[in-house]
Amino acid sequence: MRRAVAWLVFWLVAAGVVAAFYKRVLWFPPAVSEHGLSMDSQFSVSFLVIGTLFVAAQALFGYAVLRGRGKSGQPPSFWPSNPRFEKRLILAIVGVFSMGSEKAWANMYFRKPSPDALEIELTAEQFAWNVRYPGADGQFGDTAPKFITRANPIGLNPSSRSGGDDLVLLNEVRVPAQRRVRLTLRSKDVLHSFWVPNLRLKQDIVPGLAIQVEFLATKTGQFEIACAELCGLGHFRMKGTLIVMEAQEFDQWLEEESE
Amino acid sequence: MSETHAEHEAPRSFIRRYIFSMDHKVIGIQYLLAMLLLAVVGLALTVVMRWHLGIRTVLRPETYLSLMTMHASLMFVVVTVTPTSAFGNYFLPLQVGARDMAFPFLNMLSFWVALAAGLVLLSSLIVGAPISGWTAYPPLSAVGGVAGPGLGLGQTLWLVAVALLCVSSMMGALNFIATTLNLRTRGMSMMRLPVSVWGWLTAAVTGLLVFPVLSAGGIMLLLDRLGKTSFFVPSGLYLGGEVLPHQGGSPLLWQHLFWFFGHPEVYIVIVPSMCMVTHIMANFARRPIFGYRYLVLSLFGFVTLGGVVWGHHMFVSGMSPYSGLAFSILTLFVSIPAAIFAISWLMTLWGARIQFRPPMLYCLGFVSLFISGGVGGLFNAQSSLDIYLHDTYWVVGHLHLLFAMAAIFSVFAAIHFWFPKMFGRMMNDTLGTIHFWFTLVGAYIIFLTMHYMGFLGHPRRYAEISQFDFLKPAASAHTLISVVALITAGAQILFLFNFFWSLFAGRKAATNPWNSTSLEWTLPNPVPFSNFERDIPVVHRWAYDFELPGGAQDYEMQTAPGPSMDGQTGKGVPTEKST
Repeated sequence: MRRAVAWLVFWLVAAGVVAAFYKRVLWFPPAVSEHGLSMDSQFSVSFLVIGTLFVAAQALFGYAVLRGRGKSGQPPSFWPSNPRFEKRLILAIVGVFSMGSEKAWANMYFRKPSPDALEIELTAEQFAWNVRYPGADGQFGDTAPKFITRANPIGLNPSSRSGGDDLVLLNEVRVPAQRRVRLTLRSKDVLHSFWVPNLRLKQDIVPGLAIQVEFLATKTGQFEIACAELCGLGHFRMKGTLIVMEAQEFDQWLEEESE
Repeated sequence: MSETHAEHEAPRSFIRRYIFSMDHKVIGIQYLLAMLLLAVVGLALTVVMRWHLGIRTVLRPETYLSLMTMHASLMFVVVTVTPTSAFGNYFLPLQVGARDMAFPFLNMLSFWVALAAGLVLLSSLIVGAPISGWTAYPPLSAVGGVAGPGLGLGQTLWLVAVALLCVSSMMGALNFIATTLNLRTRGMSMMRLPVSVWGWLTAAVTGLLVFPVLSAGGIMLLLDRLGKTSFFVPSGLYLGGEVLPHQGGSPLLWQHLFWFFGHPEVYIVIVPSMCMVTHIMANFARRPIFGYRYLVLSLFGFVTLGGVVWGHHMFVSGMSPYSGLAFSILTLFVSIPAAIFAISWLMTLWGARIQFRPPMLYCLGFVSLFISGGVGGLFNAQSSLDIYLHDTYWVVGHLHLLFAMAAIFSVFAAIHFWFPKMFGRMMNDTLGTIHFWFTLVGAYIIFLTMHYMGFLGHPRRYAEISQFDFLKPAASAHTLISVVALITAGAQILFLFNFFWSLFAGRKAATNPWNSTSLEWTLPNPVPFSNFERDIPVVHRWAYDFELPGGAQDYEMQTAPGPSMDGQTGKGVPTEKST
């Protein structure tokens, strides 16, 4: 009876989990970046392998607990363990994961900066995102904290030659689809983290450093930018919007804004 | 083999005996009760936070973050201190056959400093707790009140508490190591130590290696706050309408120091937990531990690997991606010592005649949680997947399954198992069983749902989810978690009631109620002041001689002479060992 109930619970839970996966309850938001697709396939492999491992380990453990009928003083005639097999299994898992995972990691990080990438600078502050495009000259003007005012939130140097045509916006990042974008991430005050679930991109922003990341958005649309590193009482409302546009539309928009 | 303790009489005055006591047993109980208090406060904070997140928005965002910081900090102290300092203090000297810790005065000091740490931490709750989380990342935690509420005096007190905890833990660790290495009784070779002793020793060695790093980091952060230094604060920060005077520090330096401590800290918590569970499980499976030598070897694996994987907390921190690669692969190798333990548990249970008493139930719950948390770790150990999972609820769920739930289950197991020796009475089995099921099912629903919320990309440490469209689907999950969390928190009353009621009205315990083998069970209740009243017994075997063929009883105490199965596990072949 006890065993029947235990198995029933086990299968109900298993069925529930499978159904939840199948129905995509609380599932990943769709990926819209190039590296996001390779990350998602690594996720799928991991789900398969780790899921199997999880079910097998729990079931074996549950079986050992519920079976519980050895003869006192006698070792069981059959052992569920084979050290050689286990050693190989663990090494195989470690090997497969580290190769697959590090490949996705390398795809993202170990690549030369693309020469034709669109440059955008993001300066985070408690609790907003300042977005800057370099303007027609393709050069960012220099900034310094002493120049920061309400009207000049990133501290653009007024006498900077290349800064005059810089375009500074708030909480709205527009990028063209199918073109590499290089973000330079800076912070004015504390740690923040640039997090766009759809892009599969998360990068902490460290004051004092200018961290660069590249991505290529594959689909147009509006996606939310959230802060993923605790930055103070307004952390939960530090929201930005990523707008991925058709390349043509984007060029047109940039031209209009720059005037 | 020191006899120092024995030469003194038990102190007569109440204060020397029960308050400023140097008796390791009293100190162990003091630790346990103090940690119980902190755990209750930490749990109360959970109730408020879960009410806020899942049922009705009642807190201001900064209040939510303060409570969250305090919940994590208090529970961090509880899980760090309880397995080793409470149970290790009481039972390590008994299990190795010593009359007390090697340095009784240091032991007393260690408790009082830990208590001071706890009280300073609680006082920070009163003056306005910091909102910077338990990791206290600078610059948020380094620049004072200008960065947010609670970051003035509250954060300073928080750091003082951390520094005190480090001092206390280092003193404790010295004591544990010296006692284990020097005060073992005759015949108690290292390979005959109960696994629990190995766990406490491992935790102490790890603690001695990494607590100094945290205390150095904590003092540097205090200096940044109070002394205008700039260890962690870079130039040109603009906060509160002005440029701060700090120059040239690195926020990432704190993260390295913190996690160089913080990851081994996980093993300081979980390794003694695993070892206590292994010890208790053998007793209720009535089976020798499988692969004792491999368990001991894998403890070395935990200590070594624990020191070189801290960077997996920092994959997206801005650290070099080449480091990320190395840390990721090294982290995956942690699955080897962990798997050795899991296989040992499975083999110990395989075909065993299990006695389902509450200590065993908690051990089995521990194993299940350990497997779940462990395989979950295979996701976030992969640096590429961690880009997505880092700082989401996935991590909250993952760390709670292992670091919180598994650790607490081992504490529940240890309390139920050793209660008769500590207090001379038995705890109630029925209450224990009901409490076990509520807590296990609750823990799984709560923390698996949190894993799921991580898939959604839900960042942790969000006071509200109303601002983002992609968090809308998480609302119902939050409500589910809150309802289950409130029920599970309520179920803890069963445990508290059982604990205090049994303290005064529980059934009187026999000397060895569990038919157990290690030295503490040779002692009468209550255990005399100098533990072993006459001579310290000689040990003839390891602690896991269960299921001996041909014996009248199914176990032998470590003090019983005769052939032993010493380490020859699973084969059932007794071997002659001389003492």
